[in-house]
Amino acid sequence: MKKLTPLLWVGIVAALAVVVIGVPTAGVWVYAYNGEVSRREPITAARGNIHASLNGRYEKVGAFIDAIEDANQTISDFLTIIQEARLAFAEALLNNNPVDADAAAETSDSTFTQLVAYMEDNPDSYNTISLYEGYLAEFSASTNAVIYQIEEFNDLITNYNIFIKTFPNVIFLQGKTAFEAYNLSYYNAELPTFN
Amino acid sequence: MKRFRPKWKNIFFSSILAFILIFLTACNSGPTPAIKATEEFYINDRPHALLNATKWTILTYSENLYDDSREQEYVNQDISGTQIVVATYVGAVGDFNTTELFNTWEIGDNDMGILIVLFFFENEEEFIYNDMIIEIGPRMSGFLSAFTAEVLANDYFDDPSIPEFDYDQRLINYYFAIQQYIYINVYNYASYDFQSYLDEYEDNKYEFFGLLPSDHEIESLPAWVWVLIIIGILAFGIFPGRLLFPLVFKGVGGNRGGGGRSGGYWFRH
Repeated sequence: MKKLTPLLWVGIVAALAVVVIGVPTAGVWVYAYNGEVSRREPITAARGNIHASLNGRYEKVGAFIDAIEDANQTISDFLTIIQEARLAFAEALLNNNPVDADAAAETSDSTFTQLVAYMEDNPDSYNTISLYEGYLAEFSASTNAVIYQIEEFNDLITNYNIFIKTFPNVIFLQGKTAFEAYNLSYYNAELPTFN
Repeated sequence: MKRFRPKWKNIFFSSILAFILIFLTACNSGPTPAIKATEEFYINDRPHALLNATKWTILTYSENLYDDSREQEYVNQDISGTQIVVATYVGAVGDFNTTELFNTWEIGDNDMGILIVLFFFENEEEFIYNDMIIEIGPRMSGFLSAFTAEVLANDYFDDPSIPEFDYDQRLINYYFAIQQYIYINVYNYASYDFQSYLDEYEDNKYEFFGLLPSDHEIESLPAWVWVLIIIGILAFGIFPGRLLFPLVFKGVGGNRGGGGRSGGYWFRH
């Protein structure tokens, strides 16, 4: 068997060192890099979900407030139109003016039809208590949805922050900054008031 | 004598392997929900607070709704697979997270699920209704908002013509109102008259229609019992099939969730 030269020995030791130290190091680096990316991406998605649920909440709650206020206003407007049309109809009859009387009757009928249709579409529009309770349920549910999304987001953030701060990942992820948890006070938890 | 040694060795190592597998399986098991899903899925009345007729009514009509909602045109619109699940619980709101329950049970295909949980107090003689939570899946919430669900609850669950103690009747009233709303507003049925169903329920309210599948359910065995069973099989060649087969096959058949999730959209009535 051929005797190994010192140079060859150095080469073998160096190669072993590369294999023993370099390969695991590269493995850990790849793990840290991929782990960071795979934990960061869902955070972006979760932040989007919070914004979507916040937006939905504002829109829904706003729409329901408007619906309640408009409901009263709409019905009130319809009734005013009908009342005025009926007065106009009576006046036209007194003045023996059939054209005006027909026009007033048409206005009155069509407005009344609209009012009935409106009430059928909004069966509780004239029930303020029921509307108000429905509104509170909507407010509560959409708030719970926002809170749920925030909790999901904060769980992902905690997982990410722990991952980048723990050894050995911390060595390879020096430039990565920890995310800040989404604070519940960032959104308006106050109950909107009616005008 | 030497010939027997390898056999005993095999048995010994098989036992060790079986033990390790059971141990690892136990370690990997997911979080246990506060209420375990029943085989019938749509009704989960583990405290036995509801009448037998109430349970069968909910099971039957929830299955019907699920089947009706799976027509091809609804599949194409991604609104198929509506599941309404009713559960009861003795305790207070906040004892467990209904959103976790919803997501563990995976109610509704296409996120078209609804979970109704009734909370009760229990004294020695009776259950006393205390609270109700309604949780609605994300896609379903586009059709049935919390606003509407609450208005329906006011009109049907709190119907003043029904005595307050008769929570079975109140629940069924509300349940059918939701069914009607879904058939008409989600699946565009021209009409859905549930009065005949209500009448039928009222006529048979106190009848007994038989046990539900979950009433036959055997509680799953703890891990240490499984270890003993395997040791028994290996050491003595005994196979307790009468005990094991129902446990092994209990997951087969029955209703299941459609993979739906909740976005935490729930409210308390």
